[in-house]
Parts: sequence; C-alpha cells; structure tokens
Amino acid sequence: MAANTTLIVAGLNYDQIRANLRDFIAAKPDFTDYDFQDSALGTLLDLLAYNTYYNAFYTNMAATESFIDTAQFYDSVVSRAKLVDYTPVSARGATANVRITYTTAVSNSSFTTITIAKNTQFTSTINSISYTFVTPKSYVIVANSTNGFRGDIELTEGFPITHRFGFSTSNTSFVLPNANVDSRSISVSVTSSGNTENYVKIDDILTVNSSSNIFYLEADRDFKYRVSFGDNVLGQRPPYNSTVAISYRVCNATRGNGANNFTAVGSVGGVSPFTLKINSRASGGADQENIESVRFNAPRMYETQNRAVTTSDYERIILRERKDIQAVSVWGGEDNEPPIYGKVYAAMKPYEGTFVSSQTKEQIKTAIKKYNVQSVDLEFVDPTYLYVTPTITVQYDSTATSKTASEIGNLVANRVITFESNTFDRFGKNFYFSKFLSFLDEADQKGIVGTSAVIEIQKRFVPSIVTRNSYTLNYNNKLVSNAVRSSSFTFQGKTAFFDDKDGIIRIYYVDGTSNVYLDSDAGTISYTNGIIVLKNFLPSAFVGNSISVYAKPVLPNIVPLRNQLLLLADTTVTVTEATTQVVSAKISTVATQGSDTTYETVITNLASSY
Amino acid sequence: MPAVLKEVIYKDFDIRFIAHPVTGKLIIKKNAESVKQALKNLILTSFFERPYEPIFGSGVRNMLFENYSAMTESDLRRAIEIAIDNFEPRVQLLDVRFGGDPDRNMLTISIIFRALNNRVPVTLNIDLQRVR
Repeated sequence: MAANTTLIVAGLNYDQIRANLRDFIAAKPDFTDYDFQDSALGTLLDLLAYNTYYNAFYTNMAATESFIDTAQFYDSVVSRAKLVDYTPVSARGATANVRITYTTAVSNSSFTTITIAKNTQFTSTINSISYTFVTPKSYVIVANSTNGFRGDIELTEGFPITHRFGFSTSNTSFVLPNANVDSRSISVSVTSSGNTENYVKIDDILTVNSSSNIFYLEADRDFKYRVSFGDNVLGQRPPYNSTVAISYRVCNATRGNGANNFTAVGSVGGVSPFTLKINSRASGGADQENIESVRFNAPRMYETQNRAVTTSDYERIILRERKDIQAVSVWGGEDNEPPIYGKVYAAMKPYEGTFVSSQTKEQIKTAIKKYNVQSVDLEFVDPTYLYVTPTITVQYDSTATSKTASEIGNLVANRVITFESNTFDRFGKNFYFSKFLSFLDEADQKGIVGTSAVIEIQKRFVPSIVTRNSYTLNYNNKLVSNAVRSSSFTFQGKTAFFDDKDGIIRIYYVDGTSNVYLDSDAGTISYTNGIIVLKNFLPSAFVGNSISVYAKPVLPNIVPLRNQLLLLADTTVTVTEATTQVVSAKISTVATQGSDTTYETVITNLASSY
Repeated sequence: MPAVLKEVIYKDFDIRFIAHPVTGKLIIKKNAESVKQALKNLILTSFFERPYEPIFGSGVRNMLFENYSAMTESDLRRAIEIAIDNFEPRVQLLDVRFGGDPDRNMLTISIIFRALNNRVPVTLNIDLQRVR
C-alpha cells in the first residue's frame, strides 16, 4: 500500500488535524508508537494538532473580523465602516420644548432682551431619578408688548463637560474618554498665544482648504469617539503647544425620554421669577448605534454619497439623523396624486405615538438641506392609517388539547397582537391573508383544527360638526360593491349610518326593521380605485373620536399606499367546537394598536393627505 | 514452509528530548523501555489535562491529598487498571504494588507488567510525591 507521505492540510477540526499528522508520521519508518496516545509520539501529535488548530482558529477569527459582513466585534465593524467614511451615530439626549415666561419682568428702553446662555441647567425627574437638561444653544428672549418676556426654548438631556488637551507633535488627536457622548454637542476651540479660535465639525471635505478651522470626528475603540484635525492641506492644523478645549454633553440616551417637569438649577438669563410650560415633552433620546445598525447603514450611506437624490437617500439620511423615527416612506412629487413637481414627500412614523411633532419635522428639514439638490423641497405628510378589521373564527378540537376554548381564544388574540407588531412596523408592508391565518394556527397546533376570517378595511375621519365639508377616504384596494357600513353619527336628528349602492354613498337610519334614507347621494365610491368621496357632509354629532367607514376588499390581501400604514382594529375572535359548531368562547375586541383612538382627518382639497 | 511472524517493535523517542552522547541524535526508546515511558506518561496524566481528550489519564495525581489508608491503595489500583485497559493495549498487567512512606508524604507505585511483544515481566516504579 502506498504510504501517505504528504501532509494533508484540509482538516479544520482537532480530530481531522490529528489524524492527518498521524498518517504523515505513520509513513515514516523512524517511529512506530504513533497509535498509542500515551507514547511520547502521541503527546507530540496532540501538541502539534492543538497548535495547528489554535492557529487555524485564530486565522479564521482574524479573517472574519476583516470584513464588515462577518465581523463580530463592534470595533471591527466600526473600523471597516471607517473605510467608507461612516461614523456611527452617537447616543442622543432627549429634547423637550418649553415655553419660558418671565412673570414680573417689565421691559423698558434699556431692558428689551433676556439672554439665556448655552448650557443653562435644569433638572427633571423620571422614575425617581434626576436627569440634567441644558439649553443646547443660547436664546435671546425679546420683550413683546402683549406677552412680555416670553419665548420657546429647547432643553436637551445631558451633562456638559469640557476637556483640555495639549496639542503637540506626538499628540494630534484626542479620544473623548466618556461613553454616551452626544456627538451633536461637540464643540472645539483652540487657544494659542492667548488667541482662541473655534473649530467646526466637518462631514465632507469638498469645501475644505488648508486654512479651514475644522475638526474630524471618528469612532474609536470601545464605543468612544476621537477628535482629529487637518494636516494644513485638508484643514488647518492647530499650532503645536496650543491648548485644545473640547466641550460636549454626556447623556443618558433613551432614559431622558418622556421628561415633562423641569426645574432650573440656578439663574435663567439672570432674571426671575419665571414659569415653564411644556410645549412638547422630551423625546428623541436614543442609544448609540449598535453593531447591526452600523453593519447595515455603512455601505448604504456610502451609496448615498452624502447626497439626497433618490428616495432611498432621503430615507437613509432621515433614519440616520433621527433615531426616534421608526419608519419613513419617501416619494417624489411626480408620483403624487396630483403630481407636484419639484417636491419630495416624506411620511414618518415615530416609535412613540403615531404622529411626528412639527418641531421634529423642522429639525429634519434643516438637517436634510445640506444634502438635497437645490430647488427640490422636502414636504412632510403625516402617515395615514388603513385599518384591517378581521373577524376571526377558530375551530378547535376539545379532545386534542387540554386548553379550554377561552384559553385558545386568548392565545389567538395574542397572536393577532404579535402579528400586527411584527408585520406593520414599516411603510410598504402588506397584509397577506394566508400568512395571517397560518400565523394564527400556530397558537395551538394540537387544538386548532382550522382558522378562517372575514376581512374588512376601515378608514376613520373626524368630520366638522360646524361646516359642510368634503372628505376623501382612500382604501387603495379594489372594493366589493354594496358592502359599505359605518359607525353611527347624528344626521338630521337621527342616528344614521353610511352604506353604498352601485357607486353612490347613502345615509340612512333604522326605523324598526327597515332602512330609511336621509340622503341618497351623500357621495361616491370608486370600487376600482378604492376611494370614497363624501360631499358636503355635515353631521351634528358622532360617537367616539371619529367616524369609522368599513369597506370589503375584493381580495383579502391588503396593500397600503405610500404614506399609509396598516394596523389591525376591531378584531374579534370566535372559538367554536369543530364537531358541534357550538360557539365556545368569544373575544369581542383584541387590544391591537389600531384599537386605540388614533384618528385622522382627510379632506379632499389636500391631495397629499391620501 | 512455516509462516514467519514479523517481529513487532515498539519504537518511540525519549520524552526528555535528550541527545545521544555519541551520535548527537535524539535518543530512541524501544520495546519495554518505550512502553514503560508511555505507561508512566499515562499514569501521571490527570483527566482533562489534554486538550480535546478529557478522559485520557488515570486520575492518580488527584489522590495525592487523600488520607493514606488501605482504601487509597484499592482506589489507586483500580484507577491504574482502568487507565491501562483504556489506553495501553500493549500491556498485560500482572500486579500493582504500593510502598507507602506517609512520613515523607510519598507513595511508590510498582506496576509489574508484560509487554505484548516480549514474555519478560517488567517493573515500572513511579514515585508519587508532593512537589512542595
């Protein structure tokens, strides 16, 4: 038999490596004890195999960490992201907007303004823990003849800190030693020979020259950030032996969210007394970008090249700038109905609540101006919600499960809630009927024999009870004719409802067992386009916060439009015994997100509010 | 013509890696000497000492801190028998004897065996003594 004189290097695990080494030694006549583990040769084989395995593992790890797709360590992913000029988004302190009113200060010819300095401190307590909020910039409150000294200011969570470093030939960049640095707050000044100059953060080098006073911010090891300077080509290098002062806030990320009571730590603008009124409670606090987010965003930000041109560029930049935004949908004005050229539309859904505040929209608009093409305006459209209302019937076999009918009902209801939160967290997510049913079946695979559901879709609107208005309800899906129904409202003194007949929306009330029509032409319905238009509608009252109008889709798979988000609402679960068809349990309203009182107003003359 | 059995030779190198005083080459241990060296290696190896081979060894070292009694000898004998059964097929174990010297915290184990390629009994003495 031919001896194996070649050392095979294909093995990766310890046993394969040892077997290959053993075969190699076996082919040599010098030693014969290679088969005995306790021999010296056996010990040597163990040692060599272990060493080879160790090196193979190390090499594999080193190679793994070399690519952004496979790296396991945060530092490795950040290091790879640096190659495409991506800096992970830092932790961000929550920001509140408050109105400060100086109650007794009276202006005169020499006293017309009050200046509130940057980093004026306030405290707020959340869950018995006190957090520091500061003014992120200075504010000048100008006296007004009507309101006196009154103005709106922002308060951002975080404690201000300043570090001073000596700039020298061996010390030209500086690591900020704290975790949870809010990178938005970093400001740098350089003092040399008694002269102080401010340096500004730069994101791209297109406008930089050798005399620009700029600094670069990049990620460093262990979730920290490093400040570095130019080399007298791409930015001015500070003079050697100068002092670099770096100021920033250390924040508590998400923990400052929700703060709505503030107390000044000391003087505010040097004038007292004053009152504070909350315009919007603190929001926008976010953790530092995590490893998976960096892995996902870095190559995509490289695609955008710091320019907002395509719709996905806008989406990426908005999500990068605002970590409190859960979902964004952007479309060009040319895709709008009717087309409006020169505009880009964005709809956003925040993590908390359903609508983004106007303050946040303004901040995003300002941030995106740096990136977008001249003459293209960004407009925000609030997301509208299209509610899917499934009426679910679950058939179960009581002999195949130990669970009761109501337990099965509760399990299915919980699955409905999970399905909603897992599926409808982004714009453009469709509702697929078969996926929905099979997801519900998994609630109890033994007990549930089958699940069926009837799907309706619902729009809500808040009508004026003062003036006649027209309302457009866009279902965006083909509708079945003669299947419209609604929640009740008061119309001409009667408790009335909507229905439809051959493309016409009608208003009726119930008199005994028959319907009496109050308005046989209250609007139109396009079954093909899925749009209901109510004309000159004026109810005198309605139940709850809004009127719900239900329609039945031709297909049970529901597709939302650009700024529409799907939610599940008014879901009922009926559990019946499979053999007898007797209803054993019923849950009339499952607590999905769509079940709360979120509502929307849709008026015809606002095309973008579809 | 009668069949000629090929002679089995156990051949290993000296684990101390000592060079031959004349040739300067690594010293080779053969047959009984090779087996004795391997056996000593096996007895003095603890479980989990070798990477990826946790059951290799005898566990004799672990008994160093036991109170010395007749039971200790019984346990040691059993541990040595199991280790030889599992990992040293070249050995036919004949006897295991103990020479205890508790005052010096020392125990001498004499393993009397026969290597399978030779009928002559061989004795391996192992001193178990605490190092410090």
